[in-house]
Amino acid sequence: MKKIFCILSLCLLFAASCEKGPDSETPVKSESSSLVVVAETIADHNVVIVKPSEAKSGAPVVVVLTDDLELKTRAAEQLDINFKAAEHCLIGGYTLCVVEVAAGEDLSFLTSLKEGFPYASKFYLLSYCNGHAYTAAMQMPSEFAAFGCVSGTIEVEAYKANNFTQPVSFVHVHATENSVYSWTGVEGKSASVPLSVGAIVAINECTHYTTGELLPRQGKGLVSYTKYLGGKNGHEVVLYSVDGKSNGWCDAEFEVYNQIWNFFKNH
Amino acid sequence: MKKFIFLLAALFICHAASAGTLKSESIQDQGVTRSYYIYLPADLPANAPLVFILHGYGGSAQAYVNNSSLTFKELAEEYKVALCYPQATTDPRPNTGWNVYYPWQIDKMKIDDCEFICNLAKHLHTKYNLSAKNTFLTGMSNGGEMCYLMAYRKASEFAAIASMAGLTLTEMANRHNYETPIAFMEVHGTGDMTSRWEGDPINQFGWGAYLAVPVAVGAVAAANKCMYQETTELPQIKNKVIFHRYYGSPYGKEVHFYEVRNGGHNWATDSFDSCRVIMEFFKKYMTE
Repeated sequence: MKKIFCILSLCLLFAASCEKGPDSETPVKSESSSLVVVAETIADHNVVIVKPSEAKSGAPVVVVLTDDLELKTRAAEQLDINFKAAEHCLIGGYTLCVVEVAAGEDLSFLTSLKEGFPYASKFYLLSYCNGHAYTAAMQMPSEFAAFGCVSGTIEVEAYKANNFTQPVSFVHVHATENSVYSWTGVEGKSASVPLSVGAIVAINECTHYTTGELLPRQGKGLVSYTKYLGGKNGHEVVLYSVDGKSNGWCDAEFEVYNQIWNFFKNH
Repeated sequence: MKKFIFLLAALFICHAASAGTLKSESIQDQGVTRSYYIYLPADLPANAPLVFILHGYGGSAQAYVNNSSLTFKELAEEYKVALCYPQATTDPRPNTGWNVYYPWQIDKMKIDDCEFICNLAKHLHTKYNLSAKNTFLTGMSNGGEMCYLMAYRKASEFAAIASMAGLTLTEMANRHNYETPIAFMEVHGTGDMTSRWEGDPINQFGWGAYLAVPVAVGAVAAANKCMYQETTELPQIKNKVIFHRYYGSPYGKEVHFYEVRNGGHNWATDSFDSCRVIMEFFKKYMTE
């Protein structure tokens, strides 16, 4: 049920409407522009693509990895109209590419997936409710301009098998009482949030940090951030800590999409 | 003459506290005579562990031997470990100090103190039949900086390292990588105005640029691939002490981080039994 909720949120926030089935392309009109939602199979993976109807040359692509394994079959009926959210997320002409990935899966398919977007000048990788972004940061640090992770951490087995070898820019959003990806780590499954972020801080050779709090929304948990600075070649790391139990986007607490997209935009 | 009186006093204090033996000795290293004190507890077994204790900048081994708030000699009797208090040379400033890449030391201080400590360790292993694989290092301030530098450069020579109010100079991080996982401990006051918790990225305070303390500790935890953490608050005596334990390293090397809230630039002995905590940490990594 949680997965359904997660993917619904994802689609509501990232996608516009799509009344046709998978493997179809539906232009969706809005006041300012039109969006296209496509559900298809790329590199043997079910993918939903949300993009401006006229993707400009050089438009960046944000690849979102979810472990929801029913994405393709649910895409058609569950992508509801939410123009504001979609436009909000597609500021700057981003293309969103939502991909279902199984836990522990080999991520080498991402290289061929990228070939499906020949117009793109930059790719960003965001993992949602899993730690694939960390695995990709270890395995293919040069393939993406920046990485993000929402409600996931380093997967223990992936960490045992791989090393961080290159600096990367990384943003992480996590609720302090997340019971699935516990803040302090889950033995045999996932690393702690500070240690996951700390691994990137270390490879980036960040030297110091600043902290702050965002203005709290009424009745919602506190959102604080730590920005790690001084990293090699301007690579930075940002951790948003959200008071609460969310294992989702934490979008009730703050403008998470704005923060992530702005971070990507800066890299 | 003054030195002789100090030594006598040191011997007296040591004898009053325990039945061990304190000796003042020296070796030749890198063309320089290097002095040190060695403390051998009574009934020390063969192949006993060896703990190095490094003084701070401008300090001396003798002052550490005589410092009654540092309970290492009593603990040495209890844990049956030998202690070595080496003396730093005089650096270009000139003050007694370990070569850890302070700005005035770079390119001017020829002594390699990491090599010295390792050479001294080998000398003591042989001379006193001490355990090479159970050799440990601790130090405060400039001695703490040496702990980080040794973790970078000589981790395989030590079973565990504990820094008190130590720093990672940016110069260290630029020159070296953590090549070998190492069990590591840091004790640091958040109110330390000498070795600042938040770091000094632009060398505003003169010691050279250095990392924020949590970033420096996190780098060791990352090198060890520590996966999990637990945070506990110690029973409060003076300053609140928060203990962060980073564990789950595939190499079996933990990182322990004691955050002394509002604590200053010292061994924090007034807030918890830091010397015993260090010895317990070392004991965890003693092997047969």
